[in-house]
Amino acid sequence: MPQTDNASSHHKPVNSMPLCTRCSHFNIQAFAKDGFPYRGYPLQAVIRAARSGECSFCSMILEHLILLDEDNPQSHLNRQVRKEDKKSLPLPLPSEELFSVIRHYVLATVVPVWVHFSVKRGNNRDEDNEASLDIVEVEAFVSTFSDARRWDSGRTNPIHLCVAADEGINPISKTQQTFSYHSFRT
Amino acid sequence: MRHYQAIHEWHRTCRVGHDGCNQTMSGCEKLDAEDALLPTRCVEFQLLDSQNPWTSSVSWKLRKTEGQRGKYIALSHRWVQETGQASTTKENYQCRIDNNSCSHTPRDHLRTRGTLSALFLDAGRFACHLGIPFVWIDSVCIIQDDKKDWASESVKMADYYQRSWITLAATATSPTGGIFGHHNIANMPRITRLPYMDKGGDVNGHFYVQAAADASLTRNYKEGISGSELLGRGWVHQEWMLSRRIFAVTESGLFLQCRSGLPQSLNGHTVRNQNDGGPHSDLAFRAGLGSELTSSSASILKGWEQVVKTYSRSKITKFEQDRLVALTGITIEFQRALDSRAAPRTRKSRHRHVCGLWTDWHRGLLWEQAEAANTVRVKGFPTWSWLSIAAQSQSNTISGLGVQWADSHDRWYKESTSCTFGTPIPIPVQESDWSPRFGRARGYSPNVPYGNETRFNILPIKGSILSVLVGYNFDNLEDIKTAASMTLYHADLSHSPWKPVSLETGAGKVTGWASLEHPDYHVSQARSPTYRLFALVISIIPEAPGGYGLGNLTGSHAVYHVLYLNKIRISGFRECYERVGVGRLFGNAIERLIQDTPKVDILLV
Repeated sequence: MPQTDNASSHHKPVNSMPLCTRCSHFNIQAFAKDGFPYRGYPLQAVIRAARSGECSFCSMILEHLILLDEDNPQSHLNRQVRKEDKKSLPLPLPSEELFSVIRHYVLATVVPVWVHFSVKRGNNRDEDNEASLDIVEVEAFVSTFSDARRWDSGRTNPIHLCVAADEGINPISKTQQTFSYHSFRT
Repeated sequence: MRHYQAIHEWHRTCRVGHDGCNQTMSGCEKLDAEDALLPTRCVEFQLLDSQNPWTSSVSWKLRKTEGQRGKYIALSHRWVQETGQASTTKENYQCRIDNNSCSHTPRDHLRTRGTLSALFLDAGRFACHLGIPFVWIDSVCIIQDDKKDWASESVKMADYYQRSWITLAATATSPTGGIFGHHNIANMPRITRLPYMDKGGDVNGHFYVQAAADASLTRNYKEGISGSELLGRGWVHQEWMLSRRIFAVTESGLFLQCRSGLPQSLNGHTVRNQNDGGPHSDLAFRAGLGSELTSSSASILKGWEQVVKTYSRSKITKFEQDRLVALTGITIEFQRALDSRAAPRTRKSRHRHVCGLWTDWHRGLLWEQAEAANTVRVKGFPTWSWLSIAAQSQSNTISGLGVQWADSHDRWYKESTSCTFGTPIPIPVQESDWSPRFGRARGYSPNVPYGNETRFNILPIKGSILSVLVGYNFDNLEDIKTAASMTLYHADLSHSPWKPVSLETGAGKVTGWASLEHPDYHVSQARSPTYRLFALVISIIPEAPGGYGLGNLTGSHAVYHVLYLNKIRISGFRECYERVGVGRLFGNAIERLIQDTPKVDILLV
């Protein structure tokens, strides 16, 4: 496991930058096997925490969500980012795109836009540890309703986060995680 | 170990499931990467300590493998100083082939076989771990100072890259010059630490998250591959396009890529194809490059436009010498594809390659400068070829100048050709300075259809020629847009300064536009000259919309695609012209003039 580093730069292997209040109380237990599958943060709060340099987790989430959403300038995410950055795009001419913009605006006004998290579990059948969360991956995406991804065209594509834990903590999957998934050494 | 197993598994899946990866780029030949015809020579590597393969050094020998079959890996790399030192020359060739006759004392340098660079040794190590004994490395397997060997081997490169089991692309190297080594941690996807709360709500350690799959993979590919310096090199174009399967190394990871699929990591996560995927993303993703070769001749020629569009911008160390030669492999495959679509009786297409273009391909002549730059003529190429124009920096360094073709309108408007081509006249060039030797043209017949022997050709054309006046600049952007709209031009207008065109008898009325790439016509505003040039009509759109604005009752008017020419004198040849630019003409006056002007025979030089 990479060494913890006190430097705040995101170029260090493990980012020990501070966490915002919300992330410092991130409760992995909320993803219990028999619970509601989605948890999340308000998108606006994530953007503000990332932009202020206050939180490394919000910063990482936002960076990768934006990266995957480059082709959809009218998505909830990109519109909210521009709003927070005080930048705007001109409205498109009357067209399918303008209709989408209006639809996203109305939807976002009625239903808050959140960054939703869900987890993917391994197939660990450890009978000695039925309480294990068995989480191998966390997925994050931006949308209005958490289960409305299919019809909310302003949603983002999901990003996937590999998960690993300190040695001795076994509620997260016992299967060997693959960090730096495409690295290679001879 | 598991990484190499992953590579083998990926390779097997590709071989079994991807028909496109098991045939040449032209689709004319089936390939079997497991049992391929080996190149003329290969470097054979062996682990010195098979008991400890992961820490073992490698030994190497240069082998003659012509006619043999098996598996081999091809290396795609950028030439650096170490490459030259590791090259095979006439002096060390025999020593490398016949190891036993060599002295191994460093003092006797004429009889030592020299050493391989860290990159080449790592390539060998990579091959050994995959269980493949042979690696083809251009600088080692071709005798660099033997012109005959170089000429013979360079035309085979297309086959070498296509038949390889995999191409190892050194898109990044370690600080020691090799491929494998310690990672630059700064380039790895960052890891964030979060507190782990137990069921009692107490913080009891930490857990870690790292972005995987799509997002960071796409970014890493964009930075490490699409934005790599390797893909900006001219020679790498054909290596990348012709290889069926590529294993690419970056500072932050490794990618596997085949003809049929998107790039992926060893774990199978794929890279998203993005519009803004980096400066060389077209080549990296091979979007539209070569996929049309199994379609019609028109589609194949359309594919050639894409090849030239990316290749024309690339950098080449020996620019004048290698600019045409570095395309040989791709050219051969395109010719094969065109020939396969010819009549069964002849199996020879009417489109033959000539100076980076194709005979009987009118649209090919209408290439235009695609980026703003100070231009310079490249010696030894005819002015009608895009090969003849390059960009020159303030330090007088010559590099590739991007060219393009404007959108075709043949889906919406009927377009007809207006000139006819004769058989190109090959002209020998002097190797010392690449100047064409017109006096030695009679009876000159190149020995090979590709390469520098065929780099200069005079193109006979019969067509309509008008005398026009080309002004300095349009007054404003609105005028440029009007001229573009009237001539159905929809490409990006920002890259080159258009010039207004009028007839000598037209009292200054604009009847078209010109994009002049010739260096002599890139002058400062202070001089503001007007040029008298000739416009050669290449093709016509007889019924373009917008005729009402010209006072036509039918609502349509004719648009003429033209080349702008300057008359020159060449001893032994009559009616010679050089190309200085491209553009379009419109208007009733132009139409009347063309109808009244008989077609003439000229030579385009």
